[in-house]
Amino acid sequence: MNFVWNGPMIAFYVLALSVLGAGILMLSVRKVVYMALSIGGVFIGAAGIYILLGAEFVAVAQILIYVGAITILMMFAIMLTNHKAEEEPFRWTVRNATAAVGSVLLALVLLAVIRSTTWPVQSANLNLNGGNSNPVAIGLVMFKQYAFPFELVSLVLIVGLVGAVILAQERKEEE
Amino acid sequence: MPNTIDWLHQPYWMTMGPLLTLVVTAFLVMVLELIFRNGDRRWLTGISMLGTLVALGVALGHFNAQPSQALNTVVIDAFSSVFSVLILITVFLVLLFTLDYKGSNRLAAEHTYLLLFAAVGALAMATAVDLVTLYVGLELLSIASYVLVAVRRKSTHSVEGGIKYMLMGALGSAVLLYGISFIYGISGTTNLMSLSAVAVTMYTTYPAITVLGFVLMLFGMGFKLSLVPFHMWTPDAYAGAPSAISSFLATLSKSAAFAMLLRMLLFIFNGVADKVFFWAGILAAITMVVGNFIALPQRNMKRLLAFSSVAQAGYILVPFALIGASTVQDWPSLFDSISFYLFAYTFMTVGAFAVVHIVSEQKHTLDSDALIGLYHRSPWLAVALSIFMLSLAGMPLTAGFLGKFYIFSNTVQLHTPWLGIVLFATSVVSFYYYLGWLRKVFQHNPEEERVAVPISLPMNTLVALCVVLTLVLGLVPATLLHPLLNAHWVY
Repeated sequence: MNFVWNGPMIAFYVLALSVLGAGILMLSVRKVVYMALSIGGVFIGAAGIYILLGAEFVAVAQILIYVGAITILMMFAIMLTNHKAEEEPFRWTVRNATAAVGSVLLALVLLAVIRSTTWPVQSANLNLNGGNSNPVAIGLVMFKQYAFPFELVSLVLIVGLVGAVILAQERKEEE
Repeated sequence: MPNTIDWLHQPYWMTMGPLLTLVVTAFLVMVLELIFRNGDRRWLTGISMLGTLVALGVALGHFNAQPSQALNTVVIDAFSSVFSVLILITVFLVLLFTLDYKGSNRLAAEHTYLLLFAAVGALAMATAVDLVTLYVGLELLSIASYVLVAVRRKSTHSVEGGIKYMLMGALGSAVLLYGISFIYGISGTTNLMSLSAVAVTMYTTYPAITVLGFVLMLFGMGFKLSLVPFHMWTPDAYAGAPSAISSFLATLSKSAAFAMLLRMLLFIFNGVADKVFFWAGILAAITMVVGNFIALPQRNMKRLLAFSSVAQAGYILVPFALIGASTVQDWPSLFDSISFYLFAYTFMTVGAFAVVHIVSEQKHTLDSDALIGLYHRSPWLAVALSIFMLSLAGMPLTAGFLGKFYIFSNTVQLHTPWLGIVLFATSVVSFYYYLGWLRKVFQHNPEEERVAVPISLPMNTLVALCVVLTLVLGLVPATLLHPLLNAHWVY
């Protein structure tokens, strides 16, 4: 491996480390509110990586939706339900140890596969998106190539909404 | 792009026919459910069944249609037609099943159109040739199923089953997407037709990544198919959900997931089948052994059926493993085995859940001791349950036997006898617990008053349909095999 210490590379390492750090923090804190905050950190870091990859539109959408809406929604839900839940402190049990060994093995296999592959190097003047800007390209793909799954997603949303209502609504007919 | 008039005349609508019919029915039922708030609303289920029958008619018409595709996403070929018909028949049977929930026992009325939306997702999984569409279909089916499992939200078991199913399902989706992302990364396309064209190049250029993608996709779907070791949610979800929903999870979800798995693996890895498909064989062997042995000590009827469905998924995975040992000429025969077994499995499983439902409703317990003396209380139910159990175990003259026989003969023909031997040996084990039920059914219980088991008309119809279909497939398999053998399988 030859590291090239230019701006984007340094930015990538900073972002990647902060995503990893926020992820580990999310798993290790024991209070639900802190978990919601640290997952917000993961989302922001991921948005930074999207910018590095040239996907500015996805990055902005990520911040608007995941950081702005989902994390805040989670915080509100936790605060409004007066949720003081705390997890048990971590202990080494047989199950946790097996899970740890399994995760490390999986990580090693993935790392070995990824490192052993010679990835193609993109030429600098690659014509991405057929000359369109990011939002235009996304719109074209979404409404032409992926028109069918796009419509199907609306059904997923309906099912999600109806499901939430069924599970959360107070109703008499069940009594 | 065609102009507007041309576009309206495109056979797109026909290609998506069954799917669109179900979507329209689902929305119609949803609106009607909002308008008519009072009284016995089981007529909504009647409308849903009618819509399903129309969709089934359209899907049956596809058998004679030329292979075609719409929007580069949805296709008609024998593969999609066979699985669409299977899915629609299953939805019809499950809807018939839910008619039995009435009065104080009724389910939230929304379950009717949630079932239909789930079926739309299942149809998308059977007919789509694009990874994005397949995945969205899978999520539509899964999210509707999570809600349906937890639909009795006052019952702790129901909610516990729903949460476990959702967590494991989400994990499965993540693993599946991780695998898909590797394949997309090295090929740059999500369309299965384009992927199938570059399958060999992909493997020669990036062998390790391709194998990793295959394994992750197989394991991700393994969660949905409840293959061992990804089966932990199965008994809790099946036992917690209302029986109609359990039968839905055991049959429709599995058929759709098998259809999607077969379509994905076949199109993406067709050129390198001999290098990667043995993974499916290993998973099938583990699933058959563990599934059957865990089922042995179960006393809860629905948990036993859950483990039995785990084991049955292992049998159906065997032909997947054989794809690696075969040439393209053998593939149609393997598709026959898979779809024949799925048809047989659907009828006997729905039937078994129906009988368990009737018995447990009368006795108010899920313990298998509720079956003691069933023959003296209701000879008809006892005989029906015996047929389902013998078929699940694989006795001759039933559909289950022929399904296993076809898979077994495939293993012998394709020189993979060890899988056939595992299949045979674990089936022998399964006889122990299936026949254990039969012993209880025909056992005489002297202390018990002989109260006849009340059976509602829908349940009578459902059990009779399942008995007839199980026997017909067992005695005259050509009724199904003939169309399967003549089918032009892949678009």
